[in-house]
Amino acid sequence: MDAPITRTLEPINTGTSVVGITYKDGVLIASDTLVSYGSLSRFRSIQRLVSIGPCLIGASGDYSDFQHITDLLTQKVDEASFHQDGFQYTAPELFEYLCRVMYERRSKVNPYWNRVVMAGSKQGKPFLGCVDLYGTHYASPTVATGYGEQLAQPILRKEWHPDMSLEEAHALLEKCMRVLLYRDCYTINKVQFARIGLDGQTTIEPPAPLTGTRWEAPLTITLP
Amino acid sequence: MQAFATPEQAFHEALKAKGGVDLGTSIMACRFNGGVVCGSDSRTSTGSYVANRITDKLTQLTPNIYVCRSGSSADTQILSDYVRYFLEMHSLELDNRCSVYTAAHMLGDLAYQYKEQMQTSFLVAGVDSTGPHIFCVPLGSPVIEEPWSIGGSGSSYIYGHCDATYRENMTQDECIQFVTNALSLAMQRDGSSGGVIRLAVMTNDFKVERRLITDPPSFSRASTACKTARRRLGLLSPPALSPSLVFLPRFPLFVVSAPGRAARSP
Repeated sequence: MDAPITRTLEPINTGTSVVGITYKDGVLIASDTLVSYGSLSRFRSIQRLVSIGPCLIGASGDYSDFQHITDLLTQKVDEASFHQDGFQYTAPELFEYLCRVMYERRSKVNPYWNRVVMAGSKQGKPFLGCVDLYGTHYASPTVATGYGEQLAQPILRKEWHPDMSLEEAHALLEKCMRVLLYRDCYTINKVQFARIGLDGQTTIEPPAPLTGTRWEAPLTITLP
Repeated sequence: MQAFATPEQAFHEALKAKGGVDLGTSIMACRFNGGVVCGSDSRTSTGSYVANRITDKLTQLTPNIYVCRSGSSADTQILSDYVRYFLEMHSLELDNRCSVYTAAHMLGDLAYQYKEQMQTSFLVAGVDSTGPHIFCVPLGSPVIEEPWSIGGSGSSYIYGHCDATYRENMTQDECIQFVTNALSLAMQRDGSSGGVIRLAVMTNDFKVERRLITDPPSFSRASTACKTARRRLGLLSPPALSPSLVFLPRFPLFVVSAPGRAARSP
């Protein structure tokens, strides 16, 4: 009898894009609140942006693997506080740890099937990093996962500039989420924004539908 | 996740795996006491990309008969074009309107002949001298008359709702509400359906009215909670001015010649 398969073969409950951008006083990230089961929009009120210690993470891909990653990182942060020596991990350090974990799993051909975005601050400047299921990682002023890589990242790169205000960053991410709502099958019109300041203060806004979606075109295109 | 509730879903996944442009869809047709209503969503997907978010899946075969298309875009378009042409010739020979039965069987015969090569699922709905009729021509191409029918990948999610909500002899407004609500529920759950809701209302006096619903009703209690929270945070923009129901002017459509290819949306 064959040995049972003990590795992730394919993502089953999946989240779609997460987009992120650094601005003058921190980092802003956004995602929708959907976890799909194939093409079924199964869980429509899931918070895919999570605050852990000094950082804010969001991920696309398998949701159970994302839950496991948040557990791992929470453990790491808690371990540091058990020593009671005032030392706490910073976001780039947690990011490095996460990258090592992702690469280790990839090397065992049992990946966490996610692309994770991590936001925080590094030496008084905003930090935004991205690591995928292979362990490929980088830090950048703009990141996007899933369909966001194809559709949102070009918009973000074109319109990002240093020292953006929060309002500008918010408007830019809203624009990206609108495009993703139009063109990604597995999204819903309920998005959540979260930001982290340079002092590590996190704010996760409640989910809300996107406004400003445009449907005038169907008025002019109706087959006879 | 490999087991599918209906053949529609299994076929839909197989078509996506092939990489074809696919009408991941929710379509519906329903009879009421004065005619038929047919409706569809407006999303055409290629895998998980929305190739067209304003598709028109309600295709007119004759002035009194519409077909709702689901399945492969190319296959359903070509079959509809052929059947529209054949029906035009047929009505000239008859010197009268075609019956919905004829249209449905013409489509069904073609689809049956090319069963192996094509992947099509149709709802033929219309009004003729014997009254309103709806014929379902699903995968495998049987032709089955029904008082109401649903199709496409999104239809799997609304069988229960439709079974529980359908009543005979609805009024026109009740029927439109039934179709709108059902399609909206399907579009909310099915990733391959979305966009706007297109309707075609055909009444017993051979008038056709096309409608467009750009903000389908939402059935989630959570969504109203979101709005309140957003308002409190001062994040709500000024209300959008688009009307929720757009009425095209009522006028009888007596088309003498088949619409040209240029009228077809891409």
